[in-house]
Amino acid sequence: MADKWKVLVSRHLPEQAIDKLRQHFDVEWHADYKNLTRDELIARAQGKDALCIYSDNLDAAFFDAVPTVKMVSCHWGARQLDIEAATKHGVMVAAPPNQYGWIVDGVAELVWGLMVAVGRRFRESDAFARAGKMEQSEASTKFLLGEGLSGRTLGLWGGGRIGLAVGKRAAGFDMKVIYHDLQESPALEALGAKRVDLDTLLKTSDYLSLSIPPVESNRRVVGAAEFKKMKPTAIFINTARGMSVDEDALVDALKNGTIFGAGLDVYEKEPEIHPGLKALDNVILMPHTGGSLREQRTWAANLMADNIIAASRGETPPNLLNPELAARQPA
Amino acid sequence: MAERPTVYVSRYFPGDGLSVLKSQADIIQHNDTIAPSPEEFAKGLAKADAAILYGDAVSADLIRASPKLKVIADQQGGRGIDKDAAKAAGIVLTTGSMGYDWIIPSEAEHAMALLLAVTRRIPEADAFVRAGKWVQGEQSVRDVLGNGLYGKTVGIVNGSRRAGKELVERLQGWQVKILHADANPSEAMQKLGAKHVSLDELCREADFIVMLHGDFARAEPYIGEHELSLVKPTAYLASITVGKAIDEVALAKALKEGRLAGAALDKLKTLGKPVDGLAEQKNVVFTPHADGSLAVERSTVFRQMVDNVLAVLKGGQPSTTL
Repeated sequence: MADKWKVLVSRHLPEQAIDKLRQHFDVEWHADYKNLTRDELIARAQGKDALCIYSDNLDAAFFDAVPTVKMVSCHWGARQLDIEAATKHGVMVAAPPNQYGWIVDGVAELVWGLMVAVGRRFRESDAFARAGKMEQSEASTKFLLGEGLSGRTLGLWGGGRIGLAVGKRAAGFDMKVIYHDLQESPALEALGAKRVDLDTLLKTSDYLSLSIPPVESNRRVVGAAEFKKMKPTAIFINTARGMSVDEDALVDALKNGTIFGAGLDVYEKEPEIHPGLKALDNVILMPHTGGSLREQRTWAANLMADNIIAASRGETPPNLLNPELAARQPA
Repeated sequence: MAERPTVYVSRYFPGDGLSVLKSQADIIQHNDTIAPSPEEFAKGLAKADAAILYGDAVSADLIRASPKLKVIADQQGGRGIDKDAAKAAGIVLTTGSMGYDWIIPSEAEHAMALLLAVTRRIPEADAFVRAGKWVQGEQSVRDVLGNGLYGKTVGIVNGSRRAGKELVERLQGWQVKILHADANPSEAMQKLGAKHVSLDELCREADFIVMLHGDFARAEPYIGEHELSLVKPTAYLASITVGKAIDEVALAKALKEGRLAGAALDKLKTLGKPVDGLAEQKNVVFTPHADGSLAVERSTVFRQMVDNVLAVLKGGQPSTTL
């Protein structure tokens, strides 16, 4: 390698990966959690040999504008950039494999975390204990009575990968699992889960978790009419997308005791939070953390660094997405 | 029931039981979550035709001093009642037909809840959102990173006697390796895949350490300075057992020095008073002895006790006797 590669990292990534890159390259790091604008990204990519990006979207015109770039190492892969255009420009693209796989488990575990934390009123409990109100050993049996899981019904709205991962975890909890989906899920059926119509799901679920895709037909499918059908002891969980829930109706349902509580990771105008939600005690508000797992994020960022290092040495990056470019590299 | 009987109720109980009782009886109630004083208790019992209790002690002397008493319903199975004396006095002992066993699965559920809350930083993340600190879509990948259970090792300390098997059952669908350390290893837990190891080994290996009830008489902590010197800095500790089972001072120190990633506690050694430094840690979740605070279960059991007491006062049979 004649000269050190110049690398732009366009986003905050775990420091371990940045340190690794710095051992090999001249690194320019935009250590923020928001993306640069397209123009800023193009400006800062000038003269760089490789880009290490998180969620920037790159199209053909972008590659025209950054002629020195030989390699893009990204987090999400084909869904965020035009691979064909990259190949045409001779730009290698690499991304860690199976990124969605661990996100599924991360989201499913968060669904459960919200189920138990809302059911057992953890935010109120933690505040109660920290305020020193715990002086009576059984005070919680009066002031913080919550909802348990044993003998209850877990309702999954959506029987896809996340619905299945949530359902799997119910195995030892002495719960009945039902799901509503356009299609039957053989994997859920094999777990003993029963497919039901939407009305049954709404009326009989003690815990109702939403895991449906963000398509237009799923916009605001949970509204006042749906909340009205739920049990007053029901707990509603949304880790899918905010667009599927009418937040005004949710605030009303929580305020009026139409349902017991809610656990939310996503919002209609994310990251803007409905002021009505912030004023309520019976909702837990998470800042879209379904896939925010330290270990997996560090693993992914390290692979992103490894791919650039391999490319700079003229080797084929281990996670190359346009294999036709592997052969073009000098041996 | 010739005239309105008097029923002594020794605690606060949730649900509709009280209004049912009020429609048919006069009530003397100690409407609180702590026990009445012995004097108050004796005075109430002495006037009562029936009593609904919460594990209170009822000696032979108290029974002698309460001549009208025909029936006692106790939520905790009559553990404090002199049963021979009650029998001799012709007092019927009953409880709710649901019994008290629901408390054990509830402990296991609460342990899981603590684990998930601390590793996904749920109360902290909720406070972050409410404080308006969330301004960009994927900010949580920097500011609220958590840790997953999938593929990790959960180590259960104690639990052979009660909730251990319940917890191992609940972990079946979570794809975790399970370790177990208890002076009396549980065969049921091992059958479900929990590997019995020494406490030291568990502390070294576990990504999540969960403490269940052990020997209540034991004075020294199960988790102290030594155990905390063995744990992974990425490990979390969740406990539903008594405060004295953990050296809280050593725990606060380990958290402060980054030798442990977080802790979630349902009990404290001194009620209401975390030791210095513990509450200051963001990575600690507290619940106030809430591992059995379930609305449906408690309301149902109380209503069942009310129904049983009224049945006996009317000359009928309770659904369950002790």
